[in-house]
Amino acid sequence: MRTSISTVLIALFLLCSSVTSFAVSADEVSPEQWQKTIKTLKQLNITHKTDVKKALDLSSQNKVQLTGKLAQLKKAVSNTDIQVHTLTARYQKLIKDEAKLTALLKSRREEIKTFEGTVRTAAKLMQDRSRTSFYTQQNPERLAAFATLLAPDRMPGLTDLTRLIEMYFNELQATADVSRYSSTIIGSDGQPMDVEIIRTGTSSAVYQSSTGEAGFLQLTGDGTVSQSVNGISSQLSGTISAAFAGEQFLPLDFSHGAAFIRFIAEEDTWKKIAAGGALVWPILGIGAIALLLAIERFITLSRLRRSSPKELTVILEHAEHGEWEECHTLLEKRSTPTARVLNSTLKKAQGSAAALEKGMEEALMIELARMERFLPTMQTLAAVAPLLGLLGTVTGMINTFQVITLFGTGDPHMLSGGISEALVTTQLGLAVAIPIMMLHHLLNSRVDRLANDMEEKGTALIATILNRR
Amino acid sequence: MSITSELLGQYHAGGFVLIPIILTGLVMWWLILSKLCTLVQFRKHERSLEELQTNPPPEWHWQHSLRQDFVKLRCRDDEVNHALMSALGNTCCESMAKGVSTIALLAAAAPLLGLLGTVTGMISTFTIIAEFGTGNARGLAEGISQALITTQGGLLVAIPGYIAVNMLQRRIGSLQQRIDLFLTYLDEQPRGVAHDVQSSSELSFRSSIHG
Repeated sequence: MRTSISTVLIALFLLCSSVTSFAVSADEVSPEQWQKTIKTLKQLNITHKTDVKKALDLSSQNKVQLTGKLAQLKKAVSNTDIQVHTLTARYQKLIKDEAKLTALLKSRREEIKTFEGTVRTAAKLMQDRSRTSFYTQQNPERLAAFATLLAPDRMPGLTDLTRLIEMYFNELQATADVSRYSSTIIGSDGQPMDVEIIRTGTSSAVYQSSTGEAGFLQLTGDGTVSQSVNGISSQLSGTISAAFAGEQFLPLDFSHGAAFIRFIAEEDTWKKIAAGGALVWPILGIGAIALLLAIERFITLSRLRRSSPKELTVILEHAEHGEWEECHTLLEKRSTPTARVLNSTLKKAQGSAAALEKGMEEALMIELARMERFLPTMQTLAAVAPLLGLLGTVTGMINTFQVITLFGTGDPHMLSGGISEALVTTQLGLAVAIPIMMLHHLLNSRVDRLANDMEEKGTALIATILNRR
Repeated sequence: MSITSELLGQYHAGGFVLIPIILTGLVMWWLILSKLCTLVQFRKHERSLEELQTNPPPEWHWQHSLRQDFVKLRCRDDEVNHALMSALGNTCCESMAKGVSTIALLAAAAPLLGLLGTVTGMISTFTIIAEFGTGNARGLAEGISQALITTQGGLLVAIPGYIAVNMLQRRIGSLQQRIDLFLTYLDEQPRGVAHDVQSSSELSFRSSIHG
């Protein structure tokens, strides 16, 4: 179509150019020439018209073609759209399915993990149990199963499960039976010893060696080795021997050997006190010294009696009448501190009031000093004993913490053993100080009473003497 | 009933140190109450200085015995009289205050006993840890409860004890002042009159004439 249009345009151009060329030379051109030219132009017009027609035809034909093509293409597009929609829907559905399946997988995995954990915990429990069970001592090979059961990167299967359940049942059965077998144990001297063993349940076992030695067993290490318990009384081992002979009831230990630890630990309180360290001895020394002083004071003070009021009345009567000799003889017979004070006052009977008072004061001082002897010492001892105890505790604590520095806090047994030993001195210090305090108070109040008595009676005598003048 | 059983439970948990603590508490309270009763009794029958002439004190009262002693022993010498007054006053006061120092001692000893029980309990706790490890919670709790209950008991005995001692000492302090006042009053009475008189009614009669 474009080609036909261009043809038309070229023809028009040519026509115009020829017209102008004609105008230029109009005077000289003949009518024939004009006719010729018109003919040519008419021909040219006809060709041109056909050309145009052809071009129009061509273009209309093209338009039809193109419309058809467009319709085709539109149809194709709508088809593709539908396809895309279906596929997207399918994709969404698949994503949903995937999420569902992932969740399912996760829950399954958790289930499996829980199962694995349960099996492992059960196996661990069984292992702990078997370490304190005498059944293991009888069948040490059962411990080997735990190596595979407790392997960290291995999923326990059905065979493992069956084996574990079987072990549990075996253990259960073992708690109920009594069996007699031969084995090697560690003797009380630390040497291996071939003995005969009676196992009662899983918690208790007794042994008897070929030499007749008998006793209880306790488990050490992973439960495969057992050793004899120290410190069993001869009566108990006699009972065990009789049980091997089949004569008597068998003594049982329900506590897996813990009772023996307690038994051995409580054997000796003296040892416990001595475990407190070097400062135990000074504290005990203080206690002993204070006790001796208290006994001495009690004996001395109990010999000193207060003079009775009746005696005083008699003496005062004599003094009122100026019978000094009788007073003296009366007072010489008595050996109470009050009598001595009165006697020394009477010696100054002829002197002034000041001399009389001085005589009484002197005698009072001497008597008081004699009575109060050792009492301040006792007070000091009562104050020092708890301080020494505290010192011992601090020393013990320092030792304990040095042990921690060396070995760490891993072993609570060692650590608390040290603390418990350290506290013994504080306990002992208090136990010594409180009785000393009480004794001191008793003695002191007695001395106070005697001193008051002396002062009162002495003053009464002075007053009587002065009244007589 | 539940209180009794609870107390019994506490007693069992406290261990053997609780027994001396309880004994200390009982003795202390017995002394406090008896002392308080005596002091209140004496205070009730005490006569004021104005009242003394018309209304004589009963014979068991310190006012009576102090007057008897002083009147019998007083002399012309003022210095000796003063010494006599202070000796008589001291003895009288001592006899009234007798037992207060024991109460103070018991109140001081109770927390020490509590401490002793605490230390004992801690020792048993640590011994149990040393023997059985930290797994045996029941064993641990036993020692710790013993430790705490004895401290509690000691403090329960000591705190009211200290308060009571303080109160008694204040009472005795004021009593001492009253005794001193009473003795000064006796000292001011004319000598001859007091010397001759046997009964207090006569004394009041005569002194009223002299006055």
